Amino acid sequence: MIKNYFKIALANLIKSRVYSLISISSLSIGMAVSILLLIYVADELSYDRYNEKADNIYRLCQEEHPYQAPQIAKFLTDKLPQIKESARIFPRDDMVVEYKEQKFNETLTAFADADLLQMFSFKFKLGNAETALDQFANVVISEKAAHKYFGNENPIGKVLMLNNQYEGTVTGVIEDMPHNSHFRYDFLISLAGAKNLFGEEQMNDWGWQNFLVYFEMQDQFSKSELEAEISELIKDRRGDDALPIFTLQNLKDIHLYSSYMSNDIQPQNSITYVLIFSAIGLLILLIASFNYINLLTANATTRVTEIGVRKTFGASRSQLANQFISESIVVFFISLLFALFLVNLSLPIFNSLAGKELSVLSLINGNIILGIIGMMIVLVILAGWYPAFILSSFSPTKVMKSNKSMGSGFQMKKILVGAQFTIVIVLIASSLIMLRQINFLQNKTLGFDKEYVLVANVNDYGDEAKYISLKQALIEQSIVNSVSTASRVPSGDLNNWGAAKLTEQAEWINLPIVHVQFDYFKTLGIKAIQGRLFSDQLKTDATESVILNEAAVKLLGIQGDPIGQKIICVWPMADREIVGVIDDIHFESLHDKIKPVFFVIFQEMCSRLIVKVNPSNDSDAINTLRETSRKIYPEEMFDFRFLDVRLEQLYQKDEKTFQLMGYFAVIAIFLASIGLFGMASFIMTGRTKEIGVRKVNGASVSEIIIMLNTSFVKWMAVSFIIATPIAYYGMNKWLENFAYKTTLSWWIFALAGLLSLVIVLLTVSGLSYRAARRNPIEALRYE
Amino acid sequence: MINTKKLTKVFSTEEVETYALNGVDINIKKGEFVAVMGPSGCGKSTMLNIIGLLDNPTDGTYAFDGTEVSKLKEKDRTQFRKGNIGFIFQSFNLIDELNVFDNVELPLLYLKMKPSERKKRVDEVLSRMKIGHRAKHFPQQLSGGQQQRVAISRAVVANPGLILADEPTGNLDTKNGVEVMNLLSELNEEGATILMVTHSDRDAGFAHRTINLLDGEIIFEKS
Repeated sequence: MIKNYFKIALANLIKSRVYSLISISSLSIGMAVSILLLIYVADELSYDRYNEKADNIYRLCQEEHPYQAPQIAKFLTDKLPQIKESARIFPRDDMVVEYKEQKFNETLTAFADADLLQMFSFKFKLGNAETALDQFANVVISEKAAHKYFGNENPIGKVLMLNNQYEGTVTGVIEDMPHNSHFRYDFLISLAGAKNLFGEEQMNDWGWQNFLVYFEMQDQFSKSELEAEISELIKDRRGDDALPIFTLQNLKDIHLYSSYMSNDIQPQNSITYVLIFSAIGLLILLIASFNYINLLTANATTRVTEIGVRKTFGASRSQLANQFISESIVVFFISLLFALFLVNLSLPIFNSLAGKELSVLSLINGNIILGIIGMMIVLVILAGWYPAFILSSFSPTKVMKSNKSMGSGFQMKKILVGAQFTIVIVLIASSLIMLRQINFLQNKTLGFDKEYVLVANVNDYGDEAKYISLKQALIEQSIVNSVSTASRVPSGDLNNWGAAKLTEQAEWINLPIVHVQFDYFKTLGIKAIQGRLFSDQLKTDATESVILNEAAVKLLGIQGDPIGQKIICVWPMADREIVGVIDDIHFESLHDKIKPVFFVIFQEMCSRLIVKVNPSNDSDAINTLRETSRKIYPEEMFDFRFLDVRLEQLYQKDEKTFQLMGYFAVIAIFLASIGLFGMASFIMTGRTKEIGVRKVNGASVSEIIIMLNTSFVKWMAVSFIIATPIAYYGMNKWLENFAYKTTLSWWIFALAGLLSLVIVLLTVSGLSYRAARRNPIEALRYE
Repeated sequence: MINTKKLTKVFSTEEVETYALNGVDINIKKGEFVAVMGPSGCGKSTMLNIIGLLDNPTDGTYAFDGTEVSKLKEKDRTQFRKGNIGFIFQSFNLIDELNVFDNVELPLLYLKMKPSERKKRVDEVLSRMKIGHRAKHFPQQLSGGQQQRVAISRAVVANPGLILADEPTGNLDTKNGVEVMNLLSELNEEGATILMVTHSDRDAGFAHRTINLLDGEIIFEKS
């Protein structure tokens, strides 16, 4: 019997070539997209789960960021029995690492506590997790770094020069941290000697919030109670009521639930995107299934005889239903094979768009295989069951009659095509809104000059005299317009938290601080809206003046004209006079709200060199700057990068998401269109006689085309009405990721509707025209 | 074998009710060969559908071998039909995607017969119908007469007691038509009960008895 089913299935596939091609190609594409997104989502959900203790590891966070003061970890571990162990990471964005004649600027470097190696499940290739970081200047490196610096030599015991300042001894080599880790480092340097490096005072400074703190918890504890205890303990310790609320974040949540935090340890993803892509995968699979259902049931008119004969000769309805489901399963399996081939083909493109390193081998994973089986089951239920139900219901008496047209399920077909176009309109509207938001991000006035500004890191940055010589040397270059240095530049993160208060106030207020040198604002094209900028003519500016942005004026509660008012601020602690107020510039990405910030002159923190060059076509500008700078700082790399390029990188993730979304929308449109084409051709064939009769009675070709197209336009109108609120809701949610966003204008939805209408008309008009042009006699002869 | 009383079938639309059969009483004995004649739309096919258990009457009773079957549900009708009734159609209604052997085997599949038994029976009936050499051919590769012989093979392969034929020679030329009628007569002589709808007086001549229908009613019978 089964053999008989498969014979029929294959024979039917071959007989209805066009419809088989449409069904199988749309199912294959739909499945391929779903499988790609399944791999993507599984990867996103797998972050940090490789750690054996993942369930018990928590990260300490403040309201807006995960960075803490150095001493907080020990302080809390000593006081709270719920905490078993603690470990800190102090990330360094850049570090020059040198071994013999090899010297590279490394970005994946951090200081870390010895306990980190036991808390996280890093795989040691050489060395011992228990002792590797317990001594000052011990360094654990990744296999990648080991190959880069030592080739085939044994790295253990080798000495690396770090930032031209101190030596580190390699005590361990670990496997490269997995790509699905919320942080990845090639160099972990022991924090055991932190006091020697950063000074005891700084390591006890509650305002120096640059450390990530991880706790390993006891198996049983109440998260909310512990969070309250932590906030209370820190408040008591610091004697300050205005401190932020502390929260604990489980290791497994960090990657997908940290989007509210500014400047995380590395760019994390958001659960919103994971949900968006899961939904897209499902929607595209739905479109493909609907194509299959529609084409199969429409094509069933050609199978009336077979169904009737089988029923006449004893087939029960369930036997027929089983037969049709078996046929569907054959089609799904053929499609699955093509889909896997397509996945293999498109994975490199998908990886580059999604910023992933997924391989076909990811498919050989219990969860993915379960996912694919699940997808097949959904398809069998969704696309296999309904046609089987409809087809097996055909009455055997129909076989006796010459008129074999079937009305069955026609309403359902309309609903399915309508649903497909609802999905298409939602995707088009969402893509348009994403495009608009990306444009908005790229073109928003940020409040500073982003063009012709170059930024480079300096490791040896404390020496003011040396910096002044550098500035002088650079200014002498004809291409240079202005030079300054600072701890932070726009496009970076405001993660140096300081504190300030009006002299007469009791309470300190935490807010980000930026340490700068003279000409900082000039170099960035920022003007004072009140008062003035720092001036090197007024030497007291370096020690006695402060500049605030407008948000800081508000936060500090400054009444009246701020200029001339006195505030006390930390880092370095001093009474300062407000000499100027600048606009609220978009220092950080437009995902984040503008933060209050204060600017003071303090060379000791200024590690970023900023150079504004004159507009020119001098492609060698970067080399000129580097060579000039190296004359004064021969040890430094001076890896100059344009500010506008740095800014673009802030939105790379959004742009890539948009691109992916765009591709998926195109795939969805393509699938829905071929489905519509198939459906339309069936409908036209069914109306051949009607068209003939109308023409014989005087209808013109254009009247027939309008009549045929009108029914499709009606479906579109209904789809549009359903799609608009769905797209509006979804995009509103997406835009919540941005503090600054474009508006959801009505015309975007109208445009999405119009585009879909054009697609529908382009798809069906050719068929309508052909049907309308036929000689009516020819049409009527068929009857 | 077949006994109907006041068999009525009404097709209703929103506005009109059409009586396809209007109180038809028929008695057919085992081994009889009965022809039904009448103009288009007189209810011949409707009657055949109801007697063949493809459809239920709106009213009246229908006893098949003494069992009342007029109110059976679709599932039970399918059960009852299996192996008891064979059908022959004017347009043959062979499944294009299956070859001759597979087409003839179909009723046996639904009887859940063993493969070896199925093969034996199909081979037997095909050679009897002189079409055994075409077993691997597909319907489109056969002439009309050959196709009808395949259809008859399918109708009789399960040895049903009743054969229903709906204009079996309607799509055939005279020579093939006569051959088909000879085959039906042979089957009847071997014991099969046959009810045949036809427009042809020649074909009706092969039957023991002819029933004439008009507007859903029997207007006369001729033996």
